[in-house]
Amino acid sequence: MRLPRLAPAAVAPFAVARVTFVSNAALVAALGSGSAEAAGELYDRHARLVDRTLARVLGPDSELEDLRQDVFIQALASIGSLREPDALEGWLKGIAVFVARRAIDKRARRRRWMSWFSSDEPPEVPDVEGETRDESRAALRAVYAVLTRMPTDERIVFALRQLDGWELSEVAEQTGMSLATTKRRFTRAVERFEALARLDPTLSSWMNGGAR
Amino acid sequence: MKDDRTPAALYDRIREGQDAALGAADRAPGRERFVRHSAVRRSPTRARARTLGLLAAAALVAVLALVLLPARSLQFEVDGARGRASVWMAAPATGTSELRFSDGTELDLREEGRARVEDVDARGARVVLERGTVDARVVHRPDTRWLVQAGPFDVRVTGTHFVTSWDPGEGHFVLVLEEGSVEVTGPTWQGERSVRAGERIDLRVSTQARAAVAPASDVALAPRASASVAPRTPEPLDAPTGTSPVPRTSPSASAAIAPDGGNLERIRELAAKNAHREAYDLAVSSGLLDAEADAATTALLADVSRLSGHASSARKLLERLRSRFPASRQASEAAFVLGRMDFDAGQTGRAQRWFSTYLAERPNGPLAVEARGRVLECLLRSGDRDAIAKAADLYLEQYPSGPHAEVARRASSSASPSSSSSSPSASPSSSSSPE
Repeated sequence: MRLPRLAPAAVAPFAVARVTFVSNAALVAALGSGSAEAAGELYDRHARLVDRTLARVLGPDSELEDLRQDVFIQALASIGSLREPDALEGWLKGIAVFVARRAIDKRARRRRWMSWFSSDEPPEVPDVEGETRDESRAALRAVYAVLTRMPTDERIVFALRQLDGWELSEVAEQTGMSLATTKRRFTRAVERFEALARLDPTLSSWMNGGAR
Repeated sequence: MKDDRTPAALYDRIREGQDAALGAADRAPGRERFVRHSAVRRSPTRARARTLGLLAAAALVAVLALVLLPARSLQFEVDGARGRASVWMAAPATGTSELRFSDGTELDLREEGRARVEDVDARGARVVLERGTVDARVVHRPDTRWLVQAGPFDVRVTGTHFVTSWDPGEGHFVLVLEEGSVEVTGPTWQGERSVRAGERIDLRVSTQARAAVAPASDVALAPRASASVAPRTPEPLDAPTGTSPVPRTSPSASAAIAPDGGNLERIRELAAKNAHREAYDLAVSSGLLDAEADAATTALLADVSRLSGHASSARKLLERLRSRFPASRQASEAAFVLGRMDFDAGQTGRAQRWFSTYLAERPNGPLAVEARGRVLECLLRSGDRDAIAKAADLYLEQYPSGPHAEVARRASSSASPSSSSSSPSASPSSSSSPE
C-alpha cells in the first residue's frame, strides 16, 4: 500500500538533530572521539561555571571570552587525561584556574615590557542593577586592585576560597598544592588582603565593621 | 546594622555583582567558535604522527640538554619572594615562613624559628637551623643531597618527611621522622646514626659539646631579623622623632583601659558606614581621642581621624599606638600608615624611614612588599642614585614580579652609581639608605 504523500506544508523544511548525552561518561567518550555535538554540549553545560571561576580570580576582565575559549580548547585537547568522567566539573575548574594564573603571569610580563602604555587599573566593571550599584562597583574595583598587589598564589587561594566559597581541600586539589600549604597560604592571603584593604578608603569600613 | 559591613558581607556583595554581570553575558558567539574549532581538529592519524614527531624532537632536545648544559642550581622562594643563599629568615611569632624549592621540596620554618639556606646546587641544599623547628618534606630523586644543620647535629636527607628542632639555649635537639630515613651526625655518638620512619630523637647536649662544634647560633645576625625573634633587635633605621626602638616588653594590647563602650560602639558603627566625620566629632566630644585605649581602639580612632581629614590627630594617635604598644601588629601598621601620610605630604625622607621601620619590625609582614616599593619611590624623589640603585636591586631580588618591579628595573638601569650627578635631596634627611 502506498502511503499518501504528506502535504509540503505539514513538513518542516529541515529538522535539526540534537544529540544529548545523558551522563558525563557518555559526554566524555563522545568528546574523545571528536564529536562536535559533544563539544557544544560541554560548552552549554559548563561555560557559566568556567566564567565564574575566571571572574573570581581575575575580576572584571575584557578578555574573558578569549580566556573561556582557552579553557575549553585545552579541555578538548586533554580530554584523554580525564580518568573519572564524574570529575568533569572539578577538572574544568582546575583548567580555568590554570588559564587564569597564566593570564596573570602574562599580564605581569606585559606590564614589565609595556609599562609606558598599560595601566594596573582593572578594566571597567559591567553595570549591575540596583540602588547599591555604584558602591558595589567601587568595592569590586577596589577588591581586585588589592588582589592585583598580592602574590599570585595567595591571590588565587583567596579568590577561590573567600569569593567563590571553595573548600580548601578543593583549592589544594585544583591548584596542585598540598592541603597544609594551601591552608598556610590562605591564612597569609587573608592577613595580607585585610591589611591592604584597611588602607583603602573604599574597603576600610568593610574591614573594620563587625567581627571577622 | 554593624554586621552589614563585614569582610564576609563584602565578599557576598562582590559575588552577587559578578554573578549578575555573568548572567547577562552572551556566550553564543563563543560557543560557535568553540564548536567550529572542535570540528576542524586534526584527524587522529595526523595527530598521532604529530605527537610522535614532537616526542622525538623533545627526546632529542633533552639528550642535547643533558650533554651540553651544566645542571642548573635549584631555585627557592621564601614566603613567595625569591630567596637568597646565606640570608637569615625568621618566622613570625605566630605563623610559619615557607621555603619552596624548585624541585618541589618544602621546608616550613615554624613560629619564631630562624634559619638560612647556606648553599644550594642542582641536587639539594644545606640549610642551617639556628633555632626553632623546621618541618621538611624533601622530594626524593636518585642524586638528591640535602643537609639540615641543627646546632651541632647534621641531618642528611635523601627524600623524606621529618620535623626537627633546635634550642641553642638548652642544647635541646629533637628529630621526628614521619617518612623515609635520614642519617644524623652529632657530638653525642660516633659516626652517622640512621633514623627511620616513626622514630624520634630527643636529647640535650652539654655546653662543652656545643662549644666544641661551634654552633650556628654564634653566627652574626643580619639586620633583616624579625623583631619578634631577634635577640639583638635592629634599631628602626633613623626612626623619625617621636619613635623609639621597639622594646622587648610592652603592655598587653588587650590590657589597656577600656574607654566608654557606648560611644565607642557608635563610633565603630559610623566608621563602618564611612561616616568618618561624624565618628570623629563623637570621638572628640566624648573625650575618647585623649583617653588611653587598647591598641585596636587606638587604631580605629586613628583611622577615623585620618579618613575624616584630621591628619594631626591621626598622627598623634598613631605615634601613641607605637609608643604604648610597640610590639603589636597595629604599631607596625601605624609605621606604615605614617609613612603613607608623610609620603602624601611630600615628606619623602621621613616617609622612607617610616617604611624602613615597618620593614625592620615586620620583614615578612603583609605590607612588606608595599613598604619595600615605597622606600624605592621615596628614594627616587630624593635623587640619591647610589641608594636608588641599591634599593631597586634589593626590591628585584626579593620581589621580581612585585607591583614596583618595573619601576625598580628602570631605576636600576638608569641609576648608575658611577654617573652620579644627582641633584640635592628633596629632604635634608632623605639620603639615608633604606637598608
